[in-house]
Amino acid sequence: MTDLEKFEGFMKNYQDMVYGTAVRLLGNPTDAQDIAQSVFLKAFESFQALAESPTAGGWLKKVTTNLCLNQLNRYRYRWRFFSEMRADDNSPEFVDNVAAPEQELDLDEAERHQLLEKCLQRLPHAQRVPLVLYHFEDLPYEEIAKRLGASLSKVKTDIHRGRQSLKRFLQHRREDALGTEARPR
Amino acid sequence: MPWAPKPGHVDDCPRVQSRFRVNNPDPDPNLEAWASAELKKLPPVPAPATLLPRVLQRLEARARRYWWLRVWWDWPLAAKVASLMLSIALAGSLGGGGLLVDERVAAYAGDITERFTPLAGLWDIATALGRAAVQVWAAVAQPVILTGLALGTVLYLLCVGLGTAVVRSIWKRI
Repeated sequence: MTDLEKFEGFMKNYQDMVYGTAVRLLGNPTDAQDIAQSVFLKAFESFQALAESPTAGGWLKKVTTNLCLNQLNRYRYRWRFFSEMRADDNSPEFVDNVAAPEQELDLDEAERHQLLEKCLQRLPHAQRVPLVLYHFEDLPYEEIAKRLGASLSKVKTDIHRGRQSLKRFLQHRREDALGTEARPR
Repeated sequence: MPWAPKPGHVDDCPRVQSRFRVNNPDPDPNLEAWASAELKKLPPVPAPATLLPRVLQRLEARARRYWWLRVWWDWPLAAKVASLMLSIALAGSLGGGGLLVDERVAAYAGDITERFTPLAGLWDIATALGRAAVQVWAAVAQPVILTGLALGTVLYLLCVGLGTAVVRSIWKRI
């Protein structure tokens, strides 16, 4: 078996994890695919060490996160400036225009997952990135603040707003779905 | 029973409540648990079918490249050793050549100096004028220009600061 064939098997095992991490952090499938490609090209350079390593998954996840944050940092000053200018409301058009949750959310599980992924992608960078780092990468608030170069209170506020947006968005979509079903044909 | 402000109490004011929410961003402890439970349940996002062939194609193209088009680390060992020796030889010859060039340049400079000796008087005048200009600069122009520059910088920063403050306060009001 050649190195390339072995690498193909290795990639099949990890491609969903790498792509998933990238798409959740970047919120853009095209950029995520570019990042995933760069990660695997880097992995191939160290494939001798990674092939049998039990920590290969962790290594890939770390490289993916770093590359995504580097990519976002290229636009960091621009989005941080606007995010702080609108510190009281990071995304009025998205967060505040949707209804507040009043009832339990009783969507079908697959539909709920799909909606959550969609909502994650639609969150503004300033909310999505710390939210993903906290809930998917299990980083503590302090580490997130350090890596994003933001204050601890801003990170906490952004994560909180992100959670609120997710909940409101799900509720909003549920109401939409109910409204569509109830509409006479 | 949790504390709740009485009607008309200052804490019942929407502005005060809004400020409380800003300073205490997580008043709903269930929200974190809810988000954590929901997000942990999400299945992995499947990678697009194009990712694997795309990466393999890049790797194959990289492997097909001539060795001298790859990064130096990937060159064959013999080529690496040869290139290193060649680089050392090149650097050595450039150094030795530099010494030869230095001698020729020095001789040529001597010739030029002799040819232009009659112009030495003009050079002396130019030097004297230059020194006078430096003294005038040090005595008069330097403090004026430096003060002007400092004042300009302070005013510029003041304008930027005021502008930012005004834009941010207006944005918050909108």
